[in-house]
Amino acid sequence: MSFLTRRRFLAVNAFLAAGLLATVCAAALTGPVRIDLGRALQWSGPASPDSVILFDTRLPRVLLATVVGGALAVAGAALQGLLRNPLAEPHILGISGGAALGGIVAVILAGQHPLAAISAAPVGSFLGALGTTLLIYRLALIDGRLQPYTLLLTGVVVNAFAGALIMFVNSLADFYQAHGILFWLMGSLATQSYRLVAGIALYALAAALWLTWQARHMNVLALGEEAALQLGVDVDRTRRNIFMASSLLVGAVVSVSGMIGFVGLIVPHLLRLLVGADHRLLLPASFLAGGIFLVWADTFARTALGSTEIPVGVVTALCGAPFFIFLLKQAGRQAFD
Amino acid sequence: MTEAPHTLLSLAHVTFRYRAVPALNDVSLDLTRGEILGILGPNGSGKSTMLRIMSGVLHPQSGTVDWLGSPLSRVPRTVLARQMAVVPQGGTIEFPFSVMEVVLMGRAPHLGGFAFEGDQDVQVAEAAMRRTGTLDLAHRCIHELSGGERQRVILARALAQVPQALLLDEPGAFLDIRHAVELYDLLRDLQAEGMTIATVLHDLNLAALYCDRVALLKAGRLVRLGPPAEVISYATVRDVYETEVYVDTNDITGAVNVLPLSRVYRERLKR
Amino acid sequence: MRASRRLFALVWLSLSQVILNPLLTKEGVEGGRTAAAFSTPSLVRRGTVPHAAPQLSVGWLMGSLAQATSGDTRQYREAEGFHPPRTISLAPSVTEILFALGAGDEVVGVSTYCDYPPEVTRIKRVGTFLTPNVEEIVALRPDLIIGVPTPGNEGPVRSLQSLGLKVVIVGGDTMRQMRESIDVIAQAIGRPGAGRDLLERLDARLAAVRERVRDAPARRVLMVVGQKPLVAVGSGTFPDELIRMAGGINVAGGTALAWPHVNIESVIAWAPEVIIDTSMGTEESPRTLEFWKQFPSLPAVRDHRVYGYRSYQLLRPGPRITEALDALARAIHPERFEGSVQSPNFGPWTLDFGRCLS
Repeated sequence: MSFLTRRRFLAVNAFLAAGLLATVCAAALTGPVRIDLGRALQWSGPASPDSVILFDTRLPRVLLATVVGGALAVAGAALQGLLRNPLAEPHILGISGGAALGGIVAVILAGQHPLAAISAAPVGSFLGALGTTLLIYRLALIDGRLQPYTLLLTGVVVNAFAGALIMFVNSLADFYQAHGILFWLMGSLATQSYRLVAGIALYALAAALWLTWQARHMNVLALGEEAALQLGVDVDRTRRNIFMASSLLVGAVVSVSGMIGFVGLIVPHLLRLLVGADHRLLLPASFLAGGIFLVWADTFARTALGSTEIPVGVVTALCGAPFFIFLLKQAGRQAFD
Repeated sequence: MTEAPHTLLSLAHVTFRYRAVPALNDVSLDLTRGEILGILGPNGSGKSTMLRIMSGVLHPQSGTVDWLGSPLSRVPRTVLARQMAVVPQGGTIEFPFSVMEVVLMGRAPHLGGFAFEGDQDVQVAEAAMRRTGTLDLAHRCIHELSGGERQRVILARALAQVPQALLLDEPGAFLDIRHAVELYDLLRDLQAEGMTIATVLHDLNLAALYCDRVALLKAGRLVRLGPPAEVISYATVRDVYETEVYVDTNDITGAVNVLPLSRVYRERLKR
Repeated sequence: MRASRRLFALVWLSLSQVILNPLLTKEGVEGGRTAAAFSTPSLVRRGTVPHAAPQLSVGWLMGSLAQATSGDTRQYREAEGFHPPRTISLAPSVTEILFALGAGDEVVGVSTYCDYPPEVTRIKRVGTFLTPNVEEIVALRPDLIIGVPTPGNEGPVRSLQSLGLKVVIVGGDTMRQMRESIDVIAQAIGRPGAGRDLLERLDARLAAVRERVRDAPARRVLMVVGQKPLVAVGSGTFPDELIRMAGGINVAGGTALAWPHVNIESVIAWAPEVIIDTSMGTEESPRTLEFWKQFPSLPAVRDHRVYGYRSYQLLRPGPRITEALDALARAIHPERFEGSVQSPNFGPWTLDFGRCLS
């Protein structure tokens, strides 16, 4: 089928949704500790360790991985469309660097007052993401318009700058802050709070749906700025909207789980090869497939070494290297024109 | 007004500057319904800029551009896209869309929001591809095509918009002589069906053969406007292009013929 | 009061000298361990776990120890003509050892994290724990520089050595390394006798605590140094040894890693009866313990046996390791310490279970 029909749209998404459901169930049953499902599901009597592990530690974490993976993949697909570059990734624009910096600064400031809430981190990091988004936007504007190339360069520079600031803050503050920085730089999906998962899920779904609504515009944008204008797309507004929505999505996700890289790069790119470049299908499919990918990565991260965990960002990065090699081989085979 | 307006596009004293240098200087031009207008001129004379002004991508610093009687900048983009289509020169598409998907994007102005293309849209797209000879490429990836094939696909996309006016920027640039002629023949057919066409082109002979009127630009100014036979002459070519050519009227076609001369003959002609 | 404490300390020390001296003689302890210390970058060692900045006032035991050492070390001024070396310490544990050996007057530079004994605040700072400031060190014209291996100070150390300065690096990951470090430092500053005495006193105190908890039923203990990510004390570290000495079983000691990132599932499966939380840095606060309220099924949470300590209290491989053992033993076997008052300034934070426990 050379173009997207409603039937294919529904079929692909249904398939991925089923896959996601199966993945969540399988992941909930996998872990370094073997649990007895029968005991875990017993409602009567005091909570058995099996049920505590299943419902209080594993399930929230798996659900969070679903949401975070989906959000990162959707944001990645949207940013690739915006920047007209299939190699763009959510963290490349420096939003996550800004989010991490915001979180670190917030925790350090809050740490002086022991009474401050431990939730200073998510708030601070979201503010950091917001600030960084606005900063990049202002810096990248040329004659009031957002050009993809400038945006990309600005983002890379801001990312490097944020990274440097993080190291600077780290060196100034107590050495032990370094421990907390690990969370930001390597990512962690450990959570016991269903409320957190529900909150971020609502936000991510809303953003993903909104981005999907812009999908047709993103398609047309791929033809070039002028062609898109001539086809009736308000290029400036579309670009601004996509940039803001994906950046805030990434910021929210990073504030909750730290920087988990490569999901936003690998998933949309692979899907583009499998289901085509039409963003109307690519975006929702990326959301579902991103969830599947990250749940598996996280399951591996928490199971592979027994009671010791590998940071999930390390697992996704390890997937990234062979993926890049695969990409290079692919590009080599493609005809140049 | 039941009758369709005679003038589709009207430029009045349009000046456009990139930074300080004026790319277009006090240009006034009308695009009449049903004509094929050729825009000619040496490199850097402002042809592409003019096309961009005409399609509303660029806004002149002074002067007015009217479309169907109302200011171009006031016409909503989606409405304009249903009435006017542009075939740009070159341009890369980064993502691996199929040819069919690219052509279907021409239906975007007719569809809203998230909707899927219906049967009618597919038929329009297929008809456009048939006319441009690209229907058998429908399932191929756009990246696999040659420059000429891609140009024809973009033309099909523009046709899928079902516009009243078609603006083209050097459509024959990547085409060999056969395909170039086929393309211009297609433009003629479209004109017979009621389409108005404005095209930037390089080739003076093709312009003479196919265009009803030509606009000759030099350094941003409109130097001559009129039928090719009047505009394309030895004197104008020497003034505008600053080279000597041999201009003749062709016995078979009746159109003006421009023959470039090598240095030997240019010397001879001077004497 | 002071006089009687001092007397008590003297009696104690003399007894322990007699009993423990033969055990404490070490032979073949070389001065410069630099090369050895740096040539074994083990995966296990993440560097010694350093300590946080905040000051806390001294408990009565530490007071008496300080009293005792400062009194006795005057005996250890060696022969006439002995010039005690101008010493710079690059780590808090080393600083404490130096002072405990009576060499406090010769310390001319310390790291920014050194905070004990209180006199240390008046000494010039020469850089952080990770990055000693070579210029400032050289400007102080030291005769001796003592540090511990940390990620990052290799470069400055080599610079100092190439400038001809004497640099001694001592370990601090295990109890044995700590004891060796006391010896090495004592030799380096020319007070070997003080070193032996210090070790005797420490051993005596450690033995006293161990005696208190002898034959107590071993309890499962989890000690964590960070929550996000969750990092526990693993095997091959001195906190691990302290836990065992205090009559506990380190539930996270089964992995081969010194500071494993543990999965919360495993913690639930291990079901620790006592949780010691010494989260460092920004996580150091009483509110950090709220984290554990999410797991009411853990025996430690259920029985209100979650204790928070500031990291320097339990993680500094120096003379106050005896207080660390004492604190751990009180946490693990409180019933053995009934009637014995621990200084309120050294007491742990506990979870406020006054609010509803979910």
